[in-house]
Amino acid sequence: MVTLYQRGGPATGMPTRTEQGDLLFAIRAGHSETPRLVLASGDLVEAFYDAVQAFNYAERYQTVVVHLVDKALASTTCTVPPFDLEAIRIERGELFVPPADTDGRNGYKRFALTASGISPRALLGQPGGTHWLTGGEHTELGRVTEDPGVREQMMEKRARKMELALREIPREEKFKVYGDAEAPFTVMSWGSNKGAILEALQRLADDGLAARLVQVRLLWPFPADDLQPFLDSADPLVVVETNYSGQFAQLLRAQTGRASDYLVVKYNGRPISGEELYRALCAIARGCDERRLVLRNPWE
Amino acid sequence: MVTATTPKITAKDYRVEHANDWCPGCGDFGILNALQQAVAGLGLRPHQVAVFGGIGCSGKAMYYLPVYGVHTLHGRVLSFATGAKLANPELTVIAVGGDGDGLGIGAGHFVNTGRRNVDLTYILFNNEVYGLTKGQAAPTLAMGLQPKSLPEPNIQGQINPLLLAMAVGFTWIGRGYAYNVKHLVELIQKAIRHPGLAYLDVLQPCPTYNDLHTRDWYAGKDRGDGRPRLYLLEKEGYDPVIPADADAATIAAKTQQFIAKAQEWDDRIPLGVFLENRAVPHF
Ligand code: SF4
Repeated sequence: MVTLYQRGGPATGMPTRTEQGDLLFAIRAGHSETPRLVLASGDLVEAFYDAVQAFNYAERYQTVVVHLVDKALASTTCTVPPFDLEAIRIERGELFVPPADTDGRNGYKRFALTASGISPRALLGQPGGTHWLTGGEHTELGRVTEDPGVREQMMEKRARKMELALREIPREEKFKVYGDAEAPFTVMSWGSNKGAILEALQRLADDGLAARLVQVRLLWPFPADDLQPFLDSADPLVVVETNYSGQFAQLLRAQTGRASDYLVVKYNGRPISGEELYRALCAIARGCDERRLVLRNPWE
Repeated sequence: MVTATTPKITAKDYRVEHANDWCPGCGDFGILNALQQAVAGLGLRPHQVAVFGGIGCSGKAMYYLPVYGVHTLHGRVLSFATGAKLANPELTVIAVGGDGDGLGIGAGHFVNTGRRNVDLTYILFNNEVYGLTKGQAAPTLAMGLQPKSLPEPNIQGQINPLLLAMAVGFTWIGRGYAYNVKHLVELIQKAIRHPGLAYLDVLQPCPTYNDLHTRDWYAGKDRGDGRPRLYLLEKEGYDPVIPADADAATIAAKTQQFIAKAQEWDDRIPLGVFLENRAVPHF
């Protein structure tokens, strides 16, 4: 489980300033096509429960889970309701139950090819569960191999885990919808922009303009099918991000074919405020010509 | 379950039928053999042992043992081993790796593992070259030496792993020799039994790339009088123990004695337990 706290680059960049510049990095980091889940929290309460869930998913899918937060979120202090610790479940995923009388190696296949892609896991020290773990491509026993057939089987096995995750993870964990759920005016975003967007949406509602926020929380594997109805009915589709290039908008387009109608970005290290976003959304509602709106802090 | 009726465990139970790609005559075979005898001799069953391998020829040792064998990331073997020991203190945790893995890319992990007296054993296969990548100079190769893969003599200085291990806090420090298996078995068992962080340096001839420090060189065959270079500390009455209640003067004296022994090389090379520090609390 990796907590990735984003801040401005390059290199040391702006170590005490915020950015959402690592989304595509989180999804693609590393060589080859290593499966992983990427979750992004929108506020501190989400961050608490998502951290727990990230550990659970790492064990359930036996793969890397990246929990994306950013400087703005990490440095925020606020009062929240007490966390519901009773509701928290620690999952260990599928565990290997050895035959009672075994000792040492008994042919246990740590990486057994299963329909789900998940192989029951023995815990280090458990009788009957000894095996090899390696970063090399491996057989079902954990033996390093470069056999082309085994490589295909293992690539497919790992890919099945991601398909399973997309099927199993409930919709409300993939994304949340706020505001007027039926409104065509759609803001789509991720991470800590949530607070500013909710504030801006409230002000638009006060003005009589119905709008909705689709806050995507599972960024990888990408919940394209679940989002489709919202993309179909979005008019306009406004993507809001704290980065220069609109990484979420790129991802959305790559995964669904749907381009954003407007992209609102901010990349000066400061978080987006409700006020400036409200003004940008008003301009969009009036049908402004610009398709990419940059939020700035002229007073700083 | 280990019960009274469980048959006695022997080194045979620690053999694995698996193709081994070490070069013929490699010192790694001696260390593997000693490791198998050591854990079997302690009565440990394979599932009670986890061996973590670094990257390099030596890091593959875990593939030839029927234990929980984890081949880790380059230079990170001690981090994995530490995590496993903290998660399951019942496990006997052994980390194995080479001089490049542990003292080159992994030097930061080596240093910081020393600060935590976790009960695990680190066996470093010290052959002074990067064997797996064709014999380049490793961090333990002395300046000015030129094993056969180097186009010029080594222009960098060397790390003395024993001195480094002591400086950063390893509480048990020993040195063995890959071709003295009987002695190495004893050292590995002592290192495992030590209730804290143990560093065992093993002089491991690499017949393929290190043509300087060979079996014959350690045996002193290049010298006129044929005096072997290796000797056993315990045969000379060396006492490595810092008692649990040692006062500052005792610790200072033991440290001095250790530093002197850790620097002996070339003419006489000590093997054995250099330091057993019982005065540091362990995790
Ligand atoms: S290259 Fe050297 S260390 Fe590696 S297996 Fe061959 S002899 Fe052993």
